[in-house]
Amino acid sequence: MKEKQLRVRQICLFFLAFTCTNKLFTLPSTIASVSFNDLWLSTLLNVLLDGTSIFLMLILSKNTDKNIYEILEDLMGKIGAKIVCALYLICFFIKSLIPIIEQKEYIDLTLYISSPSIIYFLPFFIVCFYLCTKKLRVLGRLSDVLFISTITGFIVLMALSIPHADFSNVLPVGVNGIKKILSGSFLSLTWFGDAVYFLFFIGNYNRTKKDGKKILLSYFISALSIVLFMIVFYGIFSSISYRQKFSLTEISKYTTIINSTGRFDYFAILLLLVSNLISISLPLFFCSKLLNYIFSIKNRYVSPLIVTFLAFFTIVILTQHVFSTQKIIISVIGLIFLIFFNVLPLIFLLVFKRRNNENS
Amino acid sequence: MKTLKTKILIVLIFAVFIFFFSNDFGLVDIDKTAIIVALAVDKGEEYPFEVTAEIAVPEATDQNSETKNAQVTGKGNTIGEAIKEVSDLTGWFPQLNFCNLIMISDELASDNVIKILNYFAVTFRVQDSCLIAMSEGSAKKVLEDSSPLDDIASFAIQKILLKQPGFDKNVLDNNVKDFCVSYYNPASSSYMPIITRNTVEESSSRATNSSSESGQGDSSTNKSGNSGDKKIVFSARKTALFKNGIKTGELSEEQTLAYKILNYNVKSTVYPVKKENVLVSENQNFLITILKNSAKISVKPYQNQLNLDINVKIFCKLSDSSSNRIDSSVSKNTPLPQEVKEAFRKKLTDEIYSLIDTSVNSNCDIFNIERRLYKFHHKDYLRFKDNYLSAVVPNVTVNISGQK
Repeated sequence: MKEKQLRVRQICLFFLAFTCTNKLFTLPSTIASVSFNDLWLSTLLNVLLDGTSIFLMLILSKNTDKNIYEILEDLMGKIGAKIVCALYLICFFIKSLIPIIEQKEYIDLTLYISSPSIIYFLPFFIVCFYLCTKKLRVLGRLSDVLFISTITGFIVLMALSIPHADFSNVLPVGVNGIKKILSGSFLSLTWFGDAVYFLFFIGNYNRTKKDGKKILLSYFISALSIVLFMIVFYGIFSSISYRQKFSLTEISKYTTIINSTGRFDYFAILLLLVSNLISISLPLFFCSKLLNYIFSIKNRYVSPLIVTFLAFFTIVILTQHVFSTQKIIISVIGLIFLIFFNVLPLIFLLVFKRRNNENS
Repeated sequence: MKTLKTKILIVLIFAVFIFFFSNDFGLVDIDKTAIIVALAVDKGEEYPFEVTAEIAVPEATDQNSETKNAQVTGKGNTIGEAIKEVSDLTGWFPQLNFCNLIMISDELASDNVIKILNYFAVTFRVQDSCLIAMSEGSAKKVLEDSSPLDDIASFAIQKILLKQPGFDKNVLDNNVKDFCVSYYNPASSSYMPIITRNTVEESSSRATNSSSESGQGDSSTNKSGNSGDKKIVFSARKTALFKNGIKTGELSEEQTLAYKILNYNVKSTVYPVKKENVLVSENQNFLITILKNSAKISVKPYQNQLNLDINVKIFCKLSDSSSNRIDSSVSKNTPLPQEVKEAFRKKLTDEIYSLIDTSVNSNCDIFNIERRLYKFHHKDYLRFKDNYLSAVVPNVTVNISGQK
């Protein structure tokens, strides 16, 4: 049996370290602008959607040792597989834009007094390029290290915020109606769709006993922490939640100790930012892997270079059109994300499993 | 090894390239930065807003280690424009991250103050945890006062607004965020403390601290200009009530304290029980220290009325009394005399009822009745949402206990 690139432990830690951080920036205020006090229900819907997708993927991929490229080739041949991968590449590229733009805006608005030049954000693309040159194994290693950073940052942030949250602000539950809850859920699809990452882990990790339960549990721990964050966020800001753009910086500053000691909560925020650096690079990482597969590129620097440069120039161009870009992506392309990240992977695996069963 | 060296060299060249062309990552030179510690907003004559920035000028020399301050006033049609003028006049970049106090003149409270506060709530340049207060008279004048203890008036005011554990919690402080949260709720009711300047005559040339009339230590003494004997005493025990951002009423010092008891932990706060409330013959005035307080406020909708049930429990001890003889109960924390308990209960109950009256009369929902109805009795919310304050029937129960 050949040695796999990932271990189950690393997949568990991957979900703990990287799935929640990118949802702590503009997502809470975006959902709150539509679902108001039911923002946590909208989040819960997306969390359940991703959790169910991972659960079904775990069941459907139980008896296979093939990775996603081999599965697609079995289903639709090499050309068909490459076309599907090209579509995924486009989806991942679009998915990467909003988190990178919001990260750039966050640094621009909260960490700098004046508006610095675009070059200050270049280090992100350098790190991203370096990450893209690595194999899938790098995600496992990063998860092993950075889950501590995510968990520590999150716990400190919550410890500072929870005492100032009025949890009754989320009452009455469901008062805004199912339409608004679903709208909030739909608008936030861009930030979710984490289940798709598991598609790329299939066939790349050593199976162990009860691995499915462990993976699912770690996903839900991370996912429920996002729901908790939403509740605390609305508990603190209630009627002005929709305009608190960067909840990560806003949520913890009302502690009395901060008045005398200064913003020491930035230690926790910076820990989360470190994890988020990898989290927002993930779509581009998978873009470069897909590009390698589509064009059978062997040189490990070519795809990362293309992907990173494309991302950099797109971000530079979109700097003047942030609002309209966000509007288009969250209101129109959300449905495409739902199909590609939650529905299609299940269809591929279901058909593959049936075909395998028929053959055997 | 050779490849590793080349890699390191490339990374270093790249790093130097970034540092060289990044313009110090957009950081502003500290010499060109004005650290604004407080802002005073007044009504202007030419323009709607006059913003006075209190700027801290750090001086680290062997001779003088005190922090000096300067006030610069900018005018504008918006708050942002007025702050920009401060920058234009001084040539300094206004650094607002350390601004911990925004003072609004009472002249501006006749119009919607959210026009002022919205700028601070939305911009990332000011922390929205910044304290807000309303000044009696010119806000600029308040910032111009300098204290013998601290040259910066805003620091003296912050001391009376933000009470550390152990201090009396008799000031109803508020910040930009909380004011905006209340404003943007359907009830649109909020409050902020009123800063009053009282001139007191003193014979000594340099006083450290002086207390206001009741002597409860919640005021700060300041020197007014260069007149050696005239001192300015700041007080913040009164509270202004706002409906739709416009000032509609005021809470007295006693009502403010009663509101604090209902909504916050006021451990160590003292409560005076005066002569007329006490039934005992000898001891006339008492000072009670609250050791523990809890209050349950609930709204119950009925056919045509809203019952506002307030249940307060206080555990306290006697701290002082104007007695002809030394009373051992003060030092030994012995049980509270029944008459004192009764006097305290009656006084606090009356204050709470008057607090509710003020809230109804000023149309300011400081008890969050609208929100309580919305959250916990949503079915009845639509029935009462337009006239909930007039439908309120209060029922106050106060339980006083002490050492048993």
